[in-house]
Amino acid sequence: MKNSVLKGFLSICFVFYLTSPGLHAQEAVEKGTLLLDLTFHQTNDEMPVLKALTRTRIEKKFRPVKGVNVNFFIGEESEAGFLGRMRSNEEGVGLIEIPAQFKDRLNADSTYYFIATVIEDEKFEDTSSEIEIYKAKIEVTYTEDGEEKSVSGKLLALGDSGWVEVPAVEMKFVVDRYFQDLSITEDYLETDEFGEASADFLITIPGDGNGNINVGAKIEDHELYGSLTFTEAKQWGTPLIADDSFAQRTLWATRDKTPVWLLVIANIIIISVWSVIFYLAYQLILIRRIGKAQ
Amino acid sequence: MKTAHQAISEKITADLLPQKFGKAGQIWTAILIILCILGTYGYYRQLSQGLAVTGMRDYASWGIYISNFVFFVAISLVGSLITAIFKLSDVKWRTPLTRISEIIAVSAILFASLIIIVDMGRPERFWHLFVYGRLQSPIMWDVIVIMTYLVLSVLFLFIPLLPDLKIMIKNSKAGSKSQKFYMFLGSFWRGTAAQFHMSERAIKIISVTIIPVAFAIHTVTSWLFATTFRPGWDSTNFGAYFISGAFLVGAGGVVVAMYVFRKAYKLEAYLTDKHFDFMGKIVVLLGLLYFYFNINEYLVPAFKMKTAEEHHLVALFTGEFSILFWTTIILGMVVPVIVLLFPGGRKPLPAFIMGVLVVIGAWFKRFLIVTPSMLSPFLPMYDVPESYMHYSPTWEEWSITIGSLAGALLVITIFVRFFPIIPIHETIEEREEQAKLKAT
Repeated sequence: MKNSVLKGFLSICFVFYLTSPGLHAQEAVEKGTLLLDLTFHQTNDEMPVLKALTRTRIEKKFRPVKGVNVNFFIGEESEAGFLGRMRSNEEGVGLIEIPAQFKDRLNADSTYYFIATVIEDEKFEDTSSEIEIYKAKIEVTYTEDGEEKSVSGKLLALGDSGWVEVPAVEMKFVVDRYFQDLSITEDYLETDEFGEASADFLITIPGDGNGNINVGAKIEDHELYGSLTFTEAKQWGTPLIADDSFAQRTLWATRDKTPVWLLVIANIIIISVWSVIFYLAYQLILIRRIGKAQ
Repeated sequence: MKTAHQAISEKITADLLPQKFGKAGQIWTAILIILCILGTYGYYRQLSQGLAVTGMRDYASWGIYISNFVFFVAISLVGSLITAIFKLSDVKWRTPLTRISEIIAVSAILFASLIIIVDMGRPERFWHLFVYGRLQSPIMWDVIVIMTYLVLSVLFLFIPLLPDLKIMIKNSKAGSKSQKFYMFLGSFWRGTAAQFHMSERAIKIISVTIIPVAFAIHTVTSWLFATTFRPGWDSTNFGAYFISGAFLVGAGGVVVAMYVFRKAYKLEAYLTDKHFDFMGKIVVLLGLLYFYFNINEYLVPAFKMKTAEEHHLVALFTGEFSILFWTTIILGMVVPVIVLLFPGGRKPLPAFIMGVLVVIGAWFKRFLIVTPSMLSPFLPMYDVPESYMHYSPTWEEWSITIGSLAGALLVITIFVRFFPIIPIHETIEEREEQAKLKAT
């Protein structure tokens, strides 16, 4: 009787074990799909930067993926075209500035072809992304007439016959700030038939000690030209006079910058009161001396 | 044949000399020691695991340690009230109360210094105050003024004790440890005219000096709050508000101590009903004064009800802290004032009960000054764990706090065991003077 109860219990346990969802969990794990977006960025005539954004879909939302190794190539996926490898950060971004040894190649071509690849690992399958960029540049002209200032940008693309104006491209005019550009117009402006757009500079904005700010024009994420920015330092800002009150003798300064009036008053009080205490201690010594003398 | 003078002096000496503890005294001392040990264990846990063992978090970063600190600072003010102010005002009946108030002051300020180190978390940070402290900070002023007050209070306790030490040396067993101890402290006191003259002069100087220092200590403590821009603390009245509250709790503490010593040592002839009557009247006066400042502190912001103040005031009046707030106001202030207004209420037992209410109420009042303001920041508490939005002290905090209170009481208890709690020499002089006056 006892044996049959035990057998029955073990059989039930076995059935539960076989039907439990965790049993085949390891086999059920599927690799995720990694989305890789590659973009091109160039500021003034500096070496261009390639930016790869890695994302994956989690609970119906795209989330950045940290720690993915992205390989960057120019022209073709080969050793000769290998630009470098970067690991994506917390925002899923891997950035690489094109190394200087590729400068001649960039100067020689009017069209660039970039590839970003991610090699299969435990979590994700192989994936790659490619972009083709046509060489372009922005020329910026600054006009200053007394208080009135304006800035105009001209977008030029390198064609077979040299630099040609590019119409109907959205351009914006910006001032460099710490974390992102500040637009000086409310909307994007479109380049005209001469590839030009212009905007009045009407904002008041703090610059450096001399009022210098970097003003310029920018096109963003264009399918042919990527993101291009041109800025130049102009004395159009308000000179920033740094608040150096921390370096002065104030109540909120560091201990070595205690205000003189506080030092004087506090020390007078402390010295006065403690002088009394020392005097009292001296009186005690005298009382003791009188007692000992007798 | 004994002269009348000798008879008076022998009677007073016999009555007032420190006595060995009876059973009740031993149990009392044992309880205090156990509480101190528990507190020390709590502090050991805090030292080894950090301030995380407390209930203090990002918002309520000041808890019952600071409430306790303010309470200790407050009650210590009684030393200057009874001893200095009454002496300078030539209040005759103060004599039996002076040493009681001075030992309360010394023990309280001693534990105020200790509890603030506990609140710092890591004790070496106290050293940092001296090495890296900024004179611009009220915390630095508080450290300076507390040290000054402690030294002055010890002197104020010690110098008037010198004539009594001579009496104790004479009356203790020859060659005993206690006699050696008394001799170590005061064998140099011969009671010469020159010594009396110098000690009298020293006491007068301390009486004058300690009053501004005592006012400074509590004003500066109030500035720790008032110089911080927070609902409930942003007040120009805080110094006066704190000082009035400190005098009230100090006076209440003296009434409690008077009753306990009178009962324990049968001192009815020295701590008379008259003393309770006078002290009761003083408590009423100070209670009304403190009540006035409370109305100022709460009515004015409640009338304007600025958004930032609203959370704090609602929490006090009708919210999370309302039961504690109204209980403290009613039992710690209103009831004692009403009861002590009547002569019957100023009899020893009712006065003692009212004194206990004042002291307990004063402790919770400090808690109500500290914590609700901490939990009412100007920027709303958003996206934080639930525990950050409330403050409940942990057992470690309670054990340390109760341990510190027990420690202060233990200092007083040990003092009473070895020294006369009522000045013997001064009492003899006073009684002789009264006898002379009667004779003439």
